[in-house]
Amino acid sequence: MIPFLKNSLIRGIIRRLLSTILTLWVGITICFFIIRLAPGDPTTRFLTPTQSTQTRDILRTRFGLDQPLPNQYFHWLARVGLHLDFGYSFLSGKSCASIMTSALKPTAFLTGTALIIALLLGISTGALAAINTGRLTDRILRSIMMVFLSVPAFWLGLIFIGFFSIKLGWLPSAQIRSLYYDQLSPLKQWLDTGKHLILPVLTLGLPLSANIYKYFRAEMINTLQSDFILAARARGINKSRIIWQYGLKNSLLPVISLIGIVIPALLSGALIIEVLFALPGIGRTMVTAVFSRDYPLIMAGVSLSFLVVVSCNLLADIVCLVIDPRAQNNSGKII
Amino acid sequence: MKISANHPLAIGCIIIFFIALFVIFGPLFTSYSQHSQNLAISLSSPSIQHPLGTDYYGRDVLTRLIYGGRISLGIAVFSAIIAVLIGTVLGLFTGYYGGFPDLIIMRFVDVMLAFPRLFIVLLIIGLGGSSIPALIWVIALFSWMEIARIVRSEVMSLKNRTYVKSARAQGFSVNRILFRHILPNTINPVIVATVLSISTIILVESGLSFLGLGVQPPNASWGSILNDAKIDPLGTWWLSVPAGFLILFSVIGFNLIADGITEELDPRKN
Amino acid sequence: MEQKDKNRPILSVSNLTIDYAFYRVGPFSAQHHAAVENVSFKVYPGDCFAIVGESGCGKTSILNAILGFVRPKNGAIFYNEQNLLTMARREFRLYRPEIQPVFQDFHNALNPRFRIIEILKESLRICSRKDISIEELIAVVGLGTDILNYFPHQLSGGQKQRIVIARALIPKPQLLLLDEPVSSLDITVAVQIIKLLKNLRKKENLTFLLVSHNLPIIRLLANRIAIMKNGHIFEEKPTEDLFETPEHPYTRALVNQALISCQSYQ
Repeated sequence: MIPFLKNSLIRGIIRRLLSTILTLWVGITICFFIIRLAPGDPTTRFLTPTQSTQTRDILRTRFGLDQPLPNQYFHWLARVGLHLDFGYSFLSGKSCASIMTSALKPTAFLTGTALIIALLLGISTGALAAINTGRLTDRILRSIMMVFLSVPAFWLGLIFIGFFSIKLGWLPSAQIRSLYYDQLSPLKQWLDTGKHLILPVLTLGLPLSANIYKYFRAEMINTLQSDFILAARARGINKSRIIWQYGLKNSLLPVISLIGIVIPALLSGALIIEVLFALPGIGRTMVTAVFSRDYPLIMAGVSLSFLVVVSCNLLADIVCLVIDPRAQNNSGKII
Repeated sequence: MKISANHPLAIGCIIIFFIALFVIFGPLFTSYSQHSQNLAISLSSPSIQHPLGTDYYGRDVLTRLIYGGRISLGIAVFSAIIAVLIGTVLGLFTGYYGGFPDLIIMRFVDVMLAFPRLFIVLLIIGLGGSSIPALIWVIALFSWMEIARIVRSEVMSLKNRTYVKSARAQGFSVNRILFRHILPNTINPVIVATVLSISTIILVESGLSFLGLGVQPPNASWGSILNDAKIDPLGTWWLSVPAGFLILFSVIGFNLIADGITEELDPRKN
Repeated sequence: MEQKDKNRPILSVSNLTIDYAFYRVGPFSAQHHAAVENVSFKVYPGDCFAIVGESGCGKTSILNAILGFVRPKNGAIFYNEQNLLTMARREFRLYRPEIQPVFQDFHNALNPRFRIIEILKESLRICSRKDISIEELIAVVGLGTDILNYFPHQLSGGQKQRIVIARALIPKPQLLLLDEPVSSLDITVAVQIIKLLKNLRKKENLTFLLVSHNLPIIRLLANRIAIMKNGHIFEEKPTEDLFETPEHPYTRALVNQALISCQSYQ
């Protein structure tokens, strides 16, 4: 840490770090018990009606399901907490960690790009609308964004697939890479992946950009109406400078905490889009795991997504804390 | 209040009015049952007998849209009501009493807000089995947090108003103070939050049903009708387009109503 | 009433200390700030006792403690020789009607959703007063029946404060706590309200505990004054003594200032 940063800043960060860890633990624990207390037996999947209950018992012992639930919980927690070992998938027998690492890449790609596009689009349109409040530009943007805000992402995806993939044949509608991917040169491989991701990213990014637009427009209008802007105008500073230097800068800060808030929505959106576009990401892995009651894999997925959410929140909090001196003196929350 | 001058509210109300007419009185105008199958006319395009064509099992899509709409909107409205009740009660008591319980409940709210909602609802419904009441409850249990936060912050400012203090000094009961003097004054933001949560719940339910985890056959919801259009979205446009537009317009309608109410309540306007 | 013995204090505050804890994240990392430290005073029946001090000196905290809105850290508050701080909640409720507040912030003193008549009726019902009609009640504070059907936002500040006073009278209080009762009003309206309060004190046999920063106004009403600063009371005297022989330099400055403004009023 830079030495001149105040003591209170470091204390603030440590406090947030501790409460984040607590949140993580409570959240994961809730999930663990929700999953285990739900009816159904994962061994059913491996048994044919003719097999005896003995086979079932053997399977249960092998999966560790014969233990009492609290024991299973502490066992799991200790393994994850001490060795980051999420166990082995019931279904495939592979280690959950390796399944998740390979699934993480498409999801990170998809959500990262979608977030960047949504931010660019949302902030630029939001600023444009705020500068032109009440005029035609604002009203047109408002109607378009209202549609994006309200559209079910998967339906948008369906229409995109129907139009761009099936009707025009321009873009692929499923998978992250083509069948002949391995034979392509590295550059072409990138292009191939990119081509596969255009539709999913747009499907995820456009509705999100409407959220950011709505938030940023309100924030910017608020800033532009505040006293220090009026004072700057009275001092005769020219209008575009006011908008860029004063308005935009001061409205960007709340966007950071907004990013922390939209991450859960982004992951939810990614889930349904990965299923729709058959991308081998975390969401799709999870849906399959849920259908087959693959407990270790579900828990690994839940822990991973929860970790992503809370660490993004933590990061957003810390960035706000560092940038905004006001946040340091107040109690724990910024929002 | 001049509603006519408030375009979002008026347009939103009109949209929701027509969608409500459609799902309530729709059955009077179709002669089909939503479940009656006829494989001979599977996936037939719109005709005079079937204005919006038929699905894989030869069921009339228009009829299924009407009954599916009842389910989609019903789930959204009931879930939102339950979420609002939970959120309001928790927000009211934590805001009024404060202290350690408040701290604990608000930390819990933080945890709940960190769950990707579709993710966790899918998990519970997927493992626990899907039924319409289960959907309503599970979605509601993951939708009350925002409302609790809003109500809590309102209550925290209201409880220090002098009329509340005077009421306490005169020995009014806590229930009377909470439900007669504080709650009615939090109602505006609660109404906006309720309307908004109806629209987000419509999206969550349709997403779940689209994944096949929401409303189960033979019942239909708008999301599950879209699931049938997965193979060829534009080729079988009578499956994808009307259901999509119904979801889109109900969500737009509720969003516009919420925007309109916010605008109406904006102090700068008066 | 036999309790209204002139020599027995109706309210006696002794060694009162109030501090506020600021919670940060957990309940364990509180920071404390003392608003009132070791304050003692006695109010006798029929008195109008005033506490004077600048804003933030802790005077409102004392009122909040008497009303049971704030739990003090130390000290005792005796009302008719009963310690309000140690009694059970149930018992405390019995004393509530006898001590009624009138606050400065009359804009928020009336629930904006109710008409005036509903506000008063509700209080009458809960305090089970059947011996007085609403018309008589508002006549006491010098208002006409025409305002009964108005909502609070349709009234002027002075009218609102009169309604607040009328409502405070409903439970037949012995002690009225006045927190800057006229500070937010125009001076002419303020003087009318002061006159009203003066008359009420005589007519209803009330005792006042008044809190204000405005010494000239207090002089019109109070017969004993305590000067408070930074959570301490350091001078307490009958009004005329205080104006004639102020001891502490701070008091002297206040009194001089007050005399100048009194002259300008006249």
